Amino acid sequence: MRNGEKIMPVNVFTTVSDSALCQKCPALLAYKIHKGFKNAWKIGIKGNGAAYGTIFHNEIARVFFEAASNPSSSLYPEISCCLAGNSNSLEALIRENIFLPFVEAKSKNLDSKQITSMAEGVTVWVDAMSEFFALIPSLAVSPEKIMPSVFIKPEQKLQAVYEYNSDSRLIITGCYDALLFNPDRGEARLFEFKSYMKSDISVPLSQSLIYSWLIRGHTGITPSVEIIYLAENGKEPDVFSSSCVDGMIESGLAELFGSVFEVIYLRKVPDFLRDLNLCRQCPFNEFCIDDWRS
Amino acid sequence: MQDNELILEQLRNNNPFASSYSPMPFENMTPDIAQLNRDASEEIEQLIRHKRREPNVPLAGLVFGAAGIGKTHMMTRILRKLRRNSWPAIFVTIRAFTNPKRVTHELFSEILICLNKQHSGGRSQFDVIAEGMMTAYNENRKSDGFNNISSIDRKIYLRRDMPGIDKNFLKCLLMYLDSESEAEKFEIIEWLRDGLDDEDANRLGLPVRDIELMDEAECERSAKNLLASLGIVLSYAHMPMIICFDELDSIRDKELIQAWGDTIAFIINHIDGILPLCFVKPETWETFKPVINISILQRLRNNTIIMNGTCSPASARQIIHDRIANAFSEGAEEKYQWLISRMGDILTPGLSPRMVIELANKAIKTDLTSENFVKEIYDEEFKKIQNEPSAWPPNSSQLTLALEVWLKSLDGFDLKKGDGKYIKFFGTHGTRHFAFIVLTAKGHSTVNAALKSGISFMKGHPESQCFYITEAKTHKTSWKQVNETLSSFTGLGGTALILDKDKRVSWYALTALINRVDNGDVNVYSSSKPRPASRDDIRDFVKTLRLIEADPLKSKHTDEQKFLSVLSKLISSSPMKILAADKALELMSQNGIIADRNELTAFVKKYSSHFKTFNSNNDILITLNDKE
Repeated sequence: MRNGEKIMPVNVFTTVSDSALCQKCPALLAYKIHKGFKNAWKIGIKGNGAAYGTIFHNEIARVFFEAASNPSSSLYPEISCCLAGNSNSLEALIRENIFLPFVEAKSKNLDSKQITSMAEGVTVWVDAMSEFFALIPSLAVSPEKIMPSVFIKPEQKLQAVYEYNSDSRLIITGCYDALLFNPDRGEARLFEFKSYMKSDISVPLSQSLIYSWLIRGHTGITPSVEIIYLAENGKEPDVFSSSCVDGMIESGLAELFGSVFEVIYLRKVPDFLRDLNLCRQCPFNEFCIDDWRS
Repeated sequence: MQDNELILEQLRNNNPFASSYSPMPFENMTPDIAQLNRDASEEIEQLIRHKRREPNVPLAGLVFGAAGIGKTHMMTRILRKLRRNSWPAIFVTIRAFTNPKRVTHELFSEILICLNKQHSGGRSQFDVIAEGMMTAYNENRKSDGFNNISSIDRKIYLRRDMPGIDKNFLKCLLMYLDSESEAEKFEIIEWLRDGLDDEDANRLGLPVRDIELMDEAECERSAKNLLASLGIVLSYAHMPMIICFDELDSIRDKELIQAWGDTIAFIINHIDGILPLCFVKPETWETFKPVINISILQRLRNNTIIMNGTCSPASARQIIHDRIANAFSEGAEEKYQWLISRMGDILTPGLSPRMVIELANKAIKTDLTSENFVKEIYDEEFKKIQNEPSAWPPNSSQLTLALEVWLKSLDGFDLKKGDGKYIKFFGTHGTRHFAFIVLTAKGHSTVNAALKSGISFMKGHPESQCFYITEAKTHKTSWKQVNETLSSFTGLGGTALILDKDKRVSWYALTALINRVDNGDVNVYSSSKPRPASRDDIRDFVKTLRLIEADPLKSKHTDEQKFLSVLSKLISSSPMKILAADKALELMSQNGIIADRNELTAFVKKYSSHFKTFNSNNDILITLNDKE
């Protein structure tokens, strides 16, 4: 109470992606939120010149995970058969039932580089999935029984609250790419697919940590994290164990959320360690200090 | 104590004298003898300091020195010193010129190749210039009193700061700075260097700039304009650019010497921020003098620098000692003593550093004949080009030079210069007539016209064959009209030789070898005394190269089964078993099957039970028909 007036709690809303942008550079988040610079996330990212991330999520990964998590879907029996090792490989199944039908329907609106790059990305993704499934022996024995415990509906929206102080809260919302469970080991794994090249790990990692934090809040289980770079055929994905994820959540997220709150609500860019390589590629290089001087 | 055989084997396996040719100063890691050419390097440093202080003062340096005298080592020393003093200076070396009508264009193209080369840290000199421009811009705006510089239009203020700058040049620099895509950055540099076709230029929002379509005067005007704009930016950013002309000794043609002189005059008199350094042998300069404008001669003569880097026996031994110590961490002294005693009294006063290195190489490789010595140099160039293809972008003049020297090496092949715009050479071999088109044009209309000239030649000469030689990098398989003309061309027996990234290397390696020979950088040791090699000395080696297969028509697919099997395998091994037609043609040519797009489309249609196609917005995608 101040002057007898009731203080209303402050609710600041943000997304997981914006929080990860803040991890990359708080000034970039400020430019995005307060100056409308929507492409802030692209700064410093190296792609292979054929952007296809959204199409991959919507047209390939989501279709597969939805079919695998829904026993009444037409593809469910084939996936089950494939996981039991009684039919074509997972790659052939996805190629024939998801990838080629997608190409047939949408190729006229895409250029060939996008399609062939996506084909490479799908191969990387399928390899990562296959490796995960190989660690669940019961899946090959009785897929029909085990599949519901492995696949959960993909890309679910989760929300959680971070208390900035007694009367200010940051409400974070996000939609992860894929979460799979290994019932044989009692583990969960969060997959994040990135269509850009592997450069600064801190951004996709912080994004995955926030998702893991959201998942832990909803399920009580901290997943391990696997970040897959679709444009990096041949490079190992980054994998972080569940205990490692727990440790990183405890040590880093509070400070990050504090920065996000300050940037969005207080329009203040906290002091941070500059990544000179990123600054060199940034159109606001050398102006940001003046633009966001507290 | 190691025995002699073991020392020899170790030196052969890790030969410190395998290459006597220094790379660009930036990459030169071989040991240097600081006392060699000390006076010359100090004089050049003074020139650079002067240019930095007063970019508008017309300055140039004429540096006399024999081949292999240590130019690159000297420049390395100078650049290191500049860096130690935190003086930003841009440095480019220019290879031999080939076309007297387009010397400024060739010069600007060479400058961009050097500027675009990535150095340690992944940055190029072009990055340094662009960033330097923005630093100067920010400083200016701060002194104008702007607090929020990001809110103002950079383009307007930069044009105000740099009057006379070409607006497209500035646009390119700003786009380059803003771009996050390496592919786009490459295209921006390509537009400046050699132009782009309509489609690529439009995508970048730049006007069409097709060098092959421009007449010579227009091409030179455009290059001068861009060069002048580069000079404006360099002055603005307080960065002098040193241009080293170090293959001038290979220029023999009077017209070319005159054209080079005119370009140098243009740089000295009209461009700020650029310091030309002309490295030449005194005897070559005597042939230049009667042809070059007197005022330029005077200007160059004012700053004549003489390199006197011949080695005393002591410094020759020092070179050998340091190179061995650089290559071996253990037993270096023993190896040095062994090699020096093996070389006997051959290290006489007056040898150039290069000769010292070559003599040491000969002492290690006792089987080194003149012929395999030439092959070693060719292999060295081959590896360099393979490792850094961007240093040799598509260049029809360089391909033409390689073709000419190769054709001349063939027995019984009579070669004449072409008479048209597109046909570079006519040839006869017995009763057969040949014509050779070499083109790296990026505009489809130029390629179409060139192919039509080949068709006319074949129609006019029974028993004739025309070769269309180009690069996969510039020849787009999506050009519809070109594909139709190409079908008629091949139908008449013409051969399209589209050089892919592997095949092109042998062509440019030959060009590099010829340039080194013409520049006097290759010695032959036919008697005890070395002498500079001539083109005749490399003829036998050149003949062994297979630039064009003896009968290229053999590589055309006559065997449908082979075509079917190769295409199926290529698709099968592609991710998701899908391949764009463009890529399929490129991969098939690497597998020895040359086909054009029409042939591929017709084939896939004919074998529809094996293949299925999808149309994308720019190509056809082919996959295997698994239902079969």
